[in-house]
Amino acid sequence: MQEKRMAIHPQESLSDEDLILLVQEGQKQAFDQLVFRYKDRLFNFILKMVRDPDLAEEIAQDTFVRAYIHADKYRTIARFSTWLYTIGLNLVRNYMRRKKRSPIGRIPMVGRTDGEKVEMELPDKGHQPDRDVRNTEMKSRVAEIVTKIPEHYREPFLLREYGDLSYEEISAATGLKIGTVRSRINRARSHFRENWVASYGSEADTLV
Amino acid sequence: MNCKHAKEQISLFIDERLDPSGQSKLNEHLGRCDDCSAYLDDLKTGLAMLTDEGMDSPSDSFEWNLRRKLQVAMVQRETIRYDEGGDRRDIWRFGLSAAAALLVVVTGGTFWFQSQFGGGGPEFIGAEAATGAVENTRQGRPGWVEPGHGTVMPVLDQNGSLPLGGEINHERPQAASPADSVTGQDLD
Repeated sequence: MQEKRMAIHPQESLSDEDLILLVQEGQKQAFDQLVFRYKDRLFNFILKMVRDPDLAEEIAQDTFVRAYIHADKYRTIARFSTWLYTIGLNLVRNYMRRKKRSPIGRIPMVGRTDGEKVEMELPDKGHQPDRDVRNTEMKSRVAEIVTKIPEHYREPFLLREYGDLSYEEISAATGLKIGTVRSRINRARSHFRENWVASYGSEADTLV
Repeated sequence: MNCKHAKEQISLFIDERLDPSGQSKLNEHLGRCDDCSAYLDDLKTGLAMLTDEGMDSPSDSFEWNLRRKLQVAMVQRETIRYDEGGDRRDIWRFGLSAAAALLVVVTGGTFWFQSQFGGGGPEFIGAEAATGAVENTRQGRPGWVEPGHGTVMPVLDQNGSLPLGGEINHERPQAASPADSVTGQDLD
């Protein structure tokens, strides 16, 4: 039946939930489409949390690996994006906790499925020649603005902006009450706007 | 509506969670508050930038590295599954080995016991051998009797002691002769 559905609908037109169900049925190529859809936003969400592009890639990859390995645990009661961002958020939180406990420069690798603690293998910088080119001033300034937002406000804020999760989904992912989610997003936006104006000026200034 | 409340409503408005009544009240406030209007405009511009020009991209090697990690993770998972299966197999293997060893010990012990004391087991040996031994003893002919089944039993002398120095010698005595048979008959 799924093969029939695949034959009728190309993967590009399938919903995230249909794709992950196909992955559950063993059609591994469906996962490529999910990676294509989410890698940029997931990477940016993680990047704004950990502030390190290489580490953000590591965690984003580990998020996809976990989603793939545990695809059978996905249930259609939640959107795939909520499930994926929840995995990513948990990995970011694990990293944050380990970072606080670890000596500088020795960060345990995240995403290992066997529970073994291994020092993180730093990626070969030589494989990313485009990194400097992509880090334009605009991106750097936006990143700086975001990272000035206090962490406990930043988390639901980024889940909202990059993950496009609803308040209810953010509540489920973070364990916060919906009222708290609403309040923290509002406060995060207030910080964001304040830093934005400090960096770029206010829209009101251009009207004067 | 004060400015603090208006900014909370602006956040809900951006997320399209403001009902028509709330939107009406917010519009009314924005119409007379330049600060809150600028706040809304700044947020719209900044948030659009955040998810547009402000978006970074993962490196070109992202998907290649991801594929490599997926392969490693799949191998690890299969290895774990195999190991778990191996553990279960080991338990069965150990159990079967233990059962086989126990069988060998019991069987070997039984054969050894039979070779030493007769094939019928201790009670049988005791019953048959004791008959001959008591008879020989009664007739004053200490020695060894062969009650059957290829086994040899000691016959007590008149003092009730063993004929070969008080210890059972499991080797067949040199003095054994037809006279020492279980029948107790003399050859003379």
